[in-house]
Amino acid sequence: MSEFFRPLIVIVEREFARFLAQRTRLLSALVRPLFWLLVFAAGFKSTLGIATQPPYATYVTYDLYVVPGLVAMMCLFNGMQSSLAMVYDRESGAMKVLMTAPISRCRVLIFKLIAATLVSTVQAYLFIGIAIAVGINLPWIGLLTALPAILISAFTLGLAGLVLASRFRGLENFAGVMNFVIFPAFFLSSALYPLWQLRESSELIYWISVFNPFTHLIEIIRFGMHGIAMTPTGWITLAVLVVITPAAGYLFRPEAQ
Amino acid sequence: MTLCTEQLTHHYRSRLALDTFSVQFHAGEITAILGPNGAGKSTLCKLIAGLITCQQGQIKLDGSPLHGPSRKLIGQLGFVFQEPALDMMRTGRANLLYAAGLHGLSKNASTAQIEITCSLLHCVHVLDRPVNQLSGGERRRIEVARALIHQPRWLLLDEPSVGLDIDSRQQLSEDIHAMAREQHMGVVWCTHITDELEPDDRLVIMHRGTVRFSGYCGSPNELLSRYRSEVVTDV
Repeated sequence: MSEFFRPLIVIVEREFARFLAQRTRLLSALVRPLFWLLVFAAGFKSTLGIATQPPYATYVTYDLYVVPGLVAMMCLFNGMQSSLAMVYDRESGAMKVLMTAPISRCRVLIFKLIAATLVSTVQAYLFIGIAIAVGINLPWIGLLTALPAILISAFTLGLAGLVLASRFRGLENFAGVMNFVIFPAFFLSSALYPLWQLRESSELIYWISVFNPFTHLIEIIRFGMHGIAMTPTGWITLAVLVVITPAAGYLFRPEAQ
Repeated sequence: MTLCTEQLTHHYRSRLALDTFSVQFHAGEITAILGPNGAGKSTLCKLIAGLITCQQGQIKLDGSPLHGPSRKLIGQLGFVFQEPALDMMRTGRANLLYAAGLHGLSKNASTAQIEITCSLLHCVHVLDRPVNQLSGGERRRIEVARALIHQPRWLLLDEPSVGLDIDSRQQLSEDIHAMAREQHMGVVWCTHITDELEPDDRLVIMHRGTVRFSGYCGSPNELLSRYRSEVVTDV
């Protein structure tokens, strides 16, 4: 059994070693959402509150509303960064070491996704810790109940990143594409504003946001942070992941590398 | 114990890289695959490593298909690629621990194996330096150590001495020959540099994806001189 999981351990170790070695990546992973929280949300806090809507039991301040969206944004960025690392590995030849190991392609994919998910989760909890420290009033139970949602979201976004990475050969192309994914996914979602408010300003943006899968990941994190560990959407996402992840092993076939 | 390719044919679009290439490698023997650039040596290595899929033909290890769904058999092979494939920011030891872990070795077993393998390859002293601070020869030694860390029965080398000076090349060649003899390992050594070979190595000469000669000859240079004009013009 330990022989089975040993590859997972070294893949996770490598992912964390890389994350810690790249100080700017570590720093920007935290600074980016903190900037949104401490500058953007602080400005809106005095002018914008969110009326009662699930999962909130009462009227909430804007900075509390925006935290789940920022956690999801961290997962999104990290998912894309991990896939960028995969493109780099392919270019530098390091991918060959993985591809000639006696483990199935599907297991390689799952282990890489688990590694990326764990890095995202650590980042997310660091951010949540800082958010609590600066006075965001998150329920303590939410720290625990948000975990499944954060894990599912990070895994899903990591998988999306790997699917994207499998289509690109060069780092330059891929970096450009990331901008076309990250910004629309983030802004056309419920990360910054509730959907009903988006609908008031634009029916089109509302419907795009409704069909944006990122919106649903934000919402499962939001519910998780307020004591509801798994919503029906969370279970559906999990079921979809169970089905499509092995199929995504196809991306790791030799021709795709 | 044999590793054999049966009727391997591979195209890159319209270019034929391997043409019904059949050859058998034996355990405990060093087989040098000689041929000019474009002869199909790297394609052969990639096919054996599973980095590209066989279009036609089969690769068998002891009679079983090498690239079965379980990929267990691939663990009996170690690979040194033509292009460097090390994590440059990490130390040699971290690279080796990573490779050993991918083969399922525990941390203790990996640590012990790293010491043994690197002692034989004379690279223990560079293990704790980041790879990007090592010379070309030292990096190659780490790559060979990585290929051997899980004690494979077969070692595949795809032009491992590319970019090395004469001394480093000679030392690396001697070390690999010594290790192969000591561990009774089968070695498939793709190269176009005849200095790397020893008189009792088996030779397979490739040209345009086919086998032009397979057998033993006292001196590789002697054999090459016979084939030089016809086959390996740029060796």
